[in-house]
Amino acid sequence: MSFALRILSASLRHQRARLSVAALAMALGSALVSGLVNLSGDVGGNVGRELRAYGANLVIRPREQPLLVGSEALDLGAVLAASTIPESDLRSAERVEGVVGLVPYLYVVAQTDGGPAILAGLDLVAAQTLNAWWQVQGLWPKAEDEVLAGIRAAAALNLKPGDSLTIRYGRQTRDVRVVGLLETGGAEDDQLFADLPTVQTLTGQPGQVGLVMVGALTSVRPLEAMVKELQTLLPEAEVGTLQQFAKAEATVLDKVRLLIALVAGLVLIAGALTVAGTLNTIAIERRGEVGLMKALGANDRRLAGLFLGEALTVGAAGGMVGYLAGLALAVAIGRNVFESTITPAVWGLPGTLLVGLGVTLAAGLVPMRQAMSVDPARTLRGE
Amino acid sequence: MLIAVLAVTTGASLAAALLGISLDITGQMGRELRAYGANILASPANGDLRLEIGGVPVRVPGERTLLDENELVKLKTIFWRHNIVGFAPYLTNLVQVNGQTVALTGTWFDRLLTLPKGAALRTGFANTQNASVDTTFQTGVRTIAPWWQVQGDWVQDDDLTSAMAGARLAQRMSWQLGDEIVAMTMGRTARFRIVGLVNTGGYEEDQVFVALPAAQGLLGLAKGADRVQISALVEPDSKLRPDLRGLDPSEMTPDQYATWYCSPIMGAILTQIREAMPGAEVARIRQISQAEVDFLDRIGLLMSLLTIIALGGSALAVMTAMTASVMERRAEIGLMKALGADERQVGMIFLSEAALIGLAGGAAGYALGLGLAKGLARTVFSAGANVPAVVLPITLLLAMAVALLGSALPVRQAMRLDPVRLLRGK
Repeated sequence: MSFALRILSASLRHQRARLSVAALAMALGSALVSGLVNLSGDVGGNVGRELRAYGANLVIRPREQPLLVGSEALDLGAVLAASTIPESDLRSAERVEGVVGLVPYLYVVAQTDGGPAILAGLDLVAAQTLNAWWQVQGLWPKAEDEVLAGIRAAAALNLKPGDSLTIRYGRQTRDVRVVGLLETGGAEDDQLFADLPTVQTLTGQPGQVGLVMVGALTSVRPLEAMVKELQTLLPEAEVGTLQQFAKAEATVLDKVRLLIALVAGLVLIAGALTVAGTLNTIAIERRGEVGLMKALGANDRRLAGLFLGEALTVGAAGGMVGYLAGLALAVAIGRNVFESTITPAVWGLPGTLLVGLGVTLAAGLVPMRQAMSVDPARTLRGE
Repeated sequence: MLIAVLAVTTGASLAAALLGISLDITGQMGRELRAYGANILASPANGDLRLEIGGVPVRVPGERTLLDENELVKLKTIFWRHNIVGFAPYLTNLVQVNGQTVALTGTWFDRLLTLPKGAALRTGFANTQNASVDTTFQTGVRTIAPWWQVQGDWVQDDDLTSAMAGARLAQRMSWQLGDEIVAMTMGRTARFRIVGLVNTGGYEEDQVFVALPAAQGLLGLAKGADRVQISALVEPDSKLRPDLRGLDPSEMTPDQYATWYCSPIMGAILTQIREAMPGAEVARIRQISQAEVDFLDRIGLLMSLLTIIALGGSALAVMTAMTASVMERRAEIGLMKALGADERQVGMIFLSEAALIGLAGGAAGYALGLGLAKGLARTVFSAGANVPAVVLPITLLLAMAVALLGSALPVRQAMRLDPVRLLRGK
């Protein structure tokens, strides 16, 4: 056994150049495998998180939604939403696995000196996270009497940041101050926004909300499972899926996963082929050596053992280095592209080593076996 | 040597495939992201403040400034007309049905529009060309809102007696498919038969939808829309020429402005839509457009990094293969040296071989890679790949460079050694 080890170490020492090329090829191949496996394993999660930038994909409504009434003749100060959801019920909803954002709203039609306007009470802190596209010129309301004005509402009611306005609802009156302007290009531009308690006090509905927008990560759990869980937690409410966002998200996630998987496959095959080609070339070069060793009396088992030993050494060394390099690359890409840390894939290391070994054995040992079966005189001559 | 050519071909096909995909990834992904719906909204300039909760109006003023939907065909004449995927005008009003107030919206579902022969098409910043033939295209809700699910049938755009009811509204009003409803407003009446129920999970489920002329008729109007949603293919601002990024278009020189105008970015497309719709206030719907542009930037960056790394890795791998290939022929080099060849001559032989290998492998690799890129695009995306022509010269150049570099170093190294040792095979 020690004789075999001596031969192995001598062989490795005397063929440094050739084996370094082999090890380099192995390292490159392993780096590619490792990098791609680690990256594609996490891509779904990262992309799913990115797509939450579109906002809510679920909505929770009170079960008995009354008809919205409004015409020229009706006093718009009347109570609009007879049914509401108690805010306390939402605590358990926030803890559902996969829910990353939950914004309760309470809408009213309020009267101002400049005319009627929609006033929305909402959890402003939660909105800042879920509604990533909300751009505020000025400040977000912090105190109870501070409001945001959508830019069209501000234009229609002649408001600038710093202005005060009087809001009337039924018999209630409240003086508020505009601290910021909101521009979204959507319905928000025509509305006023205040903290939830402000509007709840105005309408005499403490602790109640009319609508809840929910953002759920579909890369963590299927959307249907989260809807079911939310519905069980809120039997008095109706949990619905916003198909506009849910469907598009599912399509995009699938396509990105497929794209990365196919690209990874392409790179892996190309890498494996090139590495195999390199190892094959090296192996062919050594056929004369094999012939010499056979002529000197080495038996096939000893030779096979020697070559296996070399392959394992080269494969292990190159493979480990390559795996770490690939992992580092995947982490760097993850940080650069998604600003998140990639968790190493569970089967990253075994996968890399397996592929590396497979390629090494397939590419290197086939010509070796050929050489071993041929008459040594012929290989020595160089045929 | 065959192995060397195969190695170069493999590397080149990978390079061509990845370049082919990553150069147009934002365009391809951008088209998929249109599934999220319209990213631009046009409203009447100096319009009234909208009083809507959850997309449903609470009150609608009697007299409103409206947009003219007949002008919308001009959106297909702007410079970026091929990026306008679709658009739909809406006219929403409150009507009485059985004493209850209901929101009724007229729109285009799948309208066939004709751009007439002779229409002025913008072909450059300062150039127009008249359209040589009539072109037709379909546009409407079915184009820009693919998530609508309709139980029953869609309303035909020329059918003024059919309606689609939102599922939630239908349930509240106990309407079934086939029911007749009578809508009344401002002294006018119209009958509609419910031919479909709309499921979306969103605000559409609280409204009744009819063909646009039907809604206009109820208001005694011959034309008019209170908003137009537009779905446009937009590239992120990072695609703008670097020296123009961050510049205010109003402060650009005429040449800079012309380049900016002809870039497929949101700012330029908005400007062109505003030119085509002078009475409108046109703005991006940030919820859709901001997430879209950020996402495209990230995917573009991911693909670029993957491509660079894969190219780098495979270049090194191919160079390694070339090195091994030269090492295999060290005896040859020794022989040539023993016969009196100098470094330059041996170098010329090997390098020209390498150049040929690079060229042949590069060309074969390009053909293979092109097929791979197209196949991949067809599998992943709805549309085929749009591989830019520049990929061919890049692939060939890279292949030759890698083949040359991979050969040059081991040849030089071998030349330094004693020819006797080379001939012996050490």
